[in-house]
Amino acid sequence: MKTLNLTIDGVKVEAQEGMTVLQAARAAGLYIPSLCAHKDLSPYGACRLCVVEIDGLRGTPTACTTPAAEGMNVRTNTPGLELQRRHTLELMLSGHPSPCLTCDSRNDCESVKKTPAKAGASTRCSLCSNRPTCAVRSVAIGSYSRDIGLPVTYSADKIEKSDPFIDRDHNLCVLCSICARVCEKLHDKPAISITKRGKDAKIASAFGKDWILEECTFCGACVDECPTGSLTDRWSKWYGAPDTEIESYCQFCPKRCKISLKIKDGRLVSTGMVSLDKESTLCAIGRFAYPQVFNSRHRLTRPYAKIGGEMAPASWDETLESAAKILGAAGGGKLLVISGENLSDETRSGVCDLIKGLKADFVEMPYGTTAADLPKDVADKIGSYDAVLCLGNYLTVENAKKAKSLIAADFVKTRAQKEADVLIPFAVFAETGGTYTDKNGSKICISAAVKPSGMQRPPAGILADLLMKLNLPHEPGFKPSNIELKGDPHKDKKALPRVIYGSLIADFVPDLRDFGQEQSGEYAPKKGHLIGEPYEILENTLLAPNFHMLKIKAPEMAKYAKPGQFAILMADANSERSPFTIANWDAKEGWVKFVIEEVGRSSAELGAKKAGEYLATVSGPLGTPLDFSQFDSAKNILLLGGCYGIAAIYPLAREFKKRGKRVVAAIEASSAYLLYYKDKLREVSDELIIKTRDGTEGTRGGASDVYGEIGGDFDAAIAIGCVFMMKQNSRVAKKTGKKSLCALNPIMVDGTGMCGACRVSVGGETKFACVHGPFFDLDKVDFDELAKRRSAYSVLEVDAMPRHEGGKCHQQ
Amino acid sequence: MSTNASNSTDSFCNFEPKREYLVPALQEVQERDGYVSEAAVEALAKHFNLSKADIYSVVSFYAQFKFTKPGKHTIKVCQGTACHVRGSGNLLKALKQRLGIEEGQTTPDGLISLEHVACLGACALAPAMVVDDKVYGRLTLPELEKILKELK
Repeated sequence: MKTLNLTIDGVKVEAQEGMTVLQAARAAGLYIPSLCAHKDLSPYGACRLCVVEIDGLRGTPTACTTPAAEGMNVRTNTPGLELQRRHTLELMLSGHPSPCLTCDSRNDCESVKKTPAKAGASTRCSLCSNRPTCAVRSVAIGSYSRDIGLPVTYSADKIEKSDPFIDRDHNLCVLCSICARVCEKLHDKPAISITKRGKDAKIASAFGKDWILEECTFCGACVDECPTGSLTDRWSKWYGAPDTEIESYCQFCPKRCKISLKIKDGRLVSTGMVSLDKESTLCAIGRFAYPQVFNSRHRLTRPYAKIGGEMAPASWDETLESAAKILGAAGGGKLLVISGENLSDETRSGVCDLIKGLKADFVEMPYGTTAADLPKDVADKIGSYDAVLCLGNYLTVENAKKAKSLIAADFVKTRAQKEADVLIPFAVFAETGGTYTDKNGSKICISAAVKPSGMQRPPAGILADLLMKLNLPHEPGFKPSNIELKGDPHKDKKALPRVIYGSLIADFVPDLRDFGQEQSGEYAPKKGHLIGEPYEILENTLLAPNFHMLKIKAPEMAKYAKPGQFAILMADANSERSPFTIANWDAKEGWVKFVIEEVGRSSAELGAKKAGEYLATVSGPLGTPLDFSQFDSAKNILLLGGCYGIAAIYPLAREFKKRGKRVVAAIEASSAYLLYYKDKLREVSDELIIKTRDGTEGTRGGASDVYGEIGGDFDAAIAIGCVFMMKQNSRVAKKTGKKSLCALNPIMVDGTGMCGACRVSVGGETKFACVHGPFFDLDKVDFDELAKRRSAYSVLEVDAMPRHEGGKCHQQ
Repeated sequence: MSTNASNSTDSFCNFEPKREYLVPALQEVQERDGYVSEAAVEALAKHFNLSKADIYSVVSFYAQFKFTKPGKHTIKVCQGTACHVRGSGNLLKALKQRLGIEEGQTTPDGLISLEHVACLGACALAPAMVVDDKVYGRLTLPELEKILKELK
C-alpha cells in the first residue's frame, strides 16, 4: 500500500492510500470535529462539521468525504472555518435543548448535579441520559453559539415513547443518519430512514408508524450507536456509561449468540453486540430483555428451609442439609426430578448423577416449555412420590400442592414455591459460568461476569454439594441432547424466546407484550389498600416540558394552608412519599395546587395522573409557614425562583403584596421553553425579571445575577429552586449582609420530624427541614452537604424508575 | 382508473427493479391512484427489493407525492404575490372554515381536497383558484360559496 505525505495544520502527516483526510488526521492524533463519521460505516458527509481548507481545492470540502492525496496541504482551524462550524452547529441545534452548552455556570452546576436528573423529557444536558457520553456535547462545548439568534424550536411533541424498549426524542437528533446506516449495514434493508425534509426531517419507519409495527427487529444497534440522546434504551439509560464490558454468550435460547455484558460498579446494566457486524446482531431478548430479567425484582435471592414446620430464611448449610435429608429419604423410585433442557452441561450432568444414584424418575422439560406443559401422566403421579425436586418453574400451584415434599429451585420467586419445603435460589446468566453444547455439538464455555445480587449459587455447585452430602458418585461422560430452536429470533419478532427456565420472559419484561408475548399473571401488581377518602385530581396541566400543575381536591388542606407550607404526595398506595410546595389554594372551593417537576419515579407517577384520577395520599399542610412578621420593617422584597421554585415563590409574592410591600420577582430557566407562571407572577409583583441561561428570553444569566446586581436595593430576599440555584444565591447573600431566606427540599419521609431523613446543617446546627423549615437563612445552609444527601440513593432511584408499565407512565 | 393499489400485476413491474427507477415507478403509482398508498409502498418494496422505510424516505422527500387519497374534486388556491395582495389569504381561510379541513387534506366525505399553489400564472385574474381543471378569477366570498355548492 502506498504511503501518502500530507501537511495538516503545518504538521507533516503520513497516511495510507484510500484513507480520507479525516482518517489521516485522526490517525495522526489531530482533531477535526465531526458527528456523522463512524469508523464502521462509509463516509456520509451530513453534519458538515469536518469542513477543512485544502490548497488547490475550491471552497470548504468535508474531510470525511475527501480522499487523502499526496502533497495535500490541509488547514482545519482557520477563523473562517470556525465561524462556519459555529453557524452549522447553531442551525443543527436550533431545536436541540442546548442551553447547558452555552451556560456560564455549567461547570459549577454539574459539580453539584453529578449525574443527570431522570426527567421525562431531556430539556437540557443536565436532564439528558446521554450526558456522560454525548458526542454533540463534546463537539459543541466551546464552539456553539447563538450568533444567528435562531428561534428555539424545541417541542415536547417530538418525544416518542410508544414503542417497546426504545425512547425517541427528535429534539436531540442531528440527522447524522448513523442509526439508519447501521440498520442498513446489519439488516441490508433498513427499517428506519430519514423521512420528509427540511425542518420536518426525522428518523422514522415507513409512514412514521411505531417501529414495533414495522420492519424493526429491535436489535438495538441504532440505540447503541446514536451519538446523541435521541435514541435511548428506556430501561438502562439512567445508569450511565458502563465501566467494564465483558464478552460472553446469551443464555436465553440455544442459539447462544455472543454478547457483550455491560457492567457498572459490579452490576450488569445493559447488554450489547460484541462488534458492529451482521454476525453479531442480537435479537430483542439478547439486547433488551437480558438485563431486565437478570435484574428483575422478582429474583429469588436467598435460600429458605422448613424449620420446625415453618418456612424461614436459612443458611446454605441448613438448606442443603434439609434438601439432602428429603432426597435421601426418597431414594429407590420414591423421588421425582423435574428439570429443563436449557441448563448448563454441568448442571444437567449433576441431575443425571442424582437420578441414577437415587433411582429417581426424571422429566427433562424441553426448551421453551412451562409448568402448563408438564405431561399429564407425570402430573397425575406427583402425589405418589415421597418427594419432588423441581429445577425451574415447571410446577403449577395445583401440581405443587400434590407433592408430599417439595424441593424447589429457581432463579425467580413463583407462587408454587409457597408449597415448597426447601427453596433454593439459582445464580443464572452473567452470575454463573458453565459449559453449553450448541446445536452442532461444539462446546461453549461461559464464565461468570458479575457477583450475584444476593445469596444465589450456581446450580451445578448446588447439585455437587447435594451429591456429596448424599454420598453419591459423579459419573463422567454425560452427553447432552441437541436442543431444537424453531425460527430465527433475529429476523422474526414472533420467533423470540418466550420462556426461560419455565418462566415467561414477559413476566419480567412487560414491553414484550407488544411483541405478542403473554404474561402469566404470576406477578400482577397487588392493588394498594387506601385508607380514607382518596384525593381527586381536578386538573393536570403541562406548564412546560417536565412541569405539571396538579390541582387536587383537598378541602381540609385548603382551609389551613399558609404561604410557604408544603404537603407530602403519594401517587399510589405503594409509591414513595415526596414533599411538594403548596403553590396555590382556595379554601372556599376546597382545592390545592402543586407544580411538580418530573425528575424521577415518584414525580413521573404524579405527573402521569390524569384529571378524574386519584392520589393515594396528600398529607399537609406541613412545615412552618413563613413568618411574615419578621419582614414588618421591610419595604422591598426580592423573590428569586428557579425551576419548581418559580411556582413556590408565587404564594409568597401574593402575601407580601397583600401586606403592602414592593415585590420584585426574578425567575430563571435554562431556556425560554422552560418558563411558566409569568403572567401569574406579574399579577402579584411590582416587577417580573426574567433570566434564561441561554438568553432566549429576558436577559442571559440566572437569578443570582439579578440578586448580585440589585440585591442591595432590597431589605430582604428569598430564593427557592434547585440546590445549585440556591447555592449560587447563597454566595451573593453572604456579600449583601441583608436578610435572606431559602426553602429547602431534601429527601423526606414522614414530614413530621420523626424519620430524620430531611436533616440539614444550617450555621453548624442540625435542623429538620420538615418541621424547623422549610425556610432557613440562605447564607447559612450547607448546600454541599444537602446536595450529597439528596444524591444518597441515586442508584436505587435508577432501579426504581417507572418500568412496571414499560416505562410509559412519563409525561403526556 | 384502478383504485386497487396492491394489485399484483402493478404497472410499475415494467420498471427494472433498480433503485434509479424508483421515482418513475412512484410517479406512475400516483398517476394511477392519485396518491401513494401504504399498500403501494409495500408492493414497491417487494418489487425493488428495498425496505418500506427506504421507499417512504424517498416518497416523503418530494412534495409532489401525496399520501392521502385525493377527493373527487381538488381546489387549488393561488398564493402568488398578486393573489396575496388581493386577499387570497382570506379566500383560503374561508375555504378551510367552510370545508372544515386544512391544506393538504380531504373532506371526510371524499368530495373535496384543498391545496395551495405558489402561482397559477393568472395574475390578471387575482385572486384566483382552480377547481379540477377550471380556473376561477377575481373571486369573492359569495362567488366561492356558489362554486362550492355546485361541486357534487
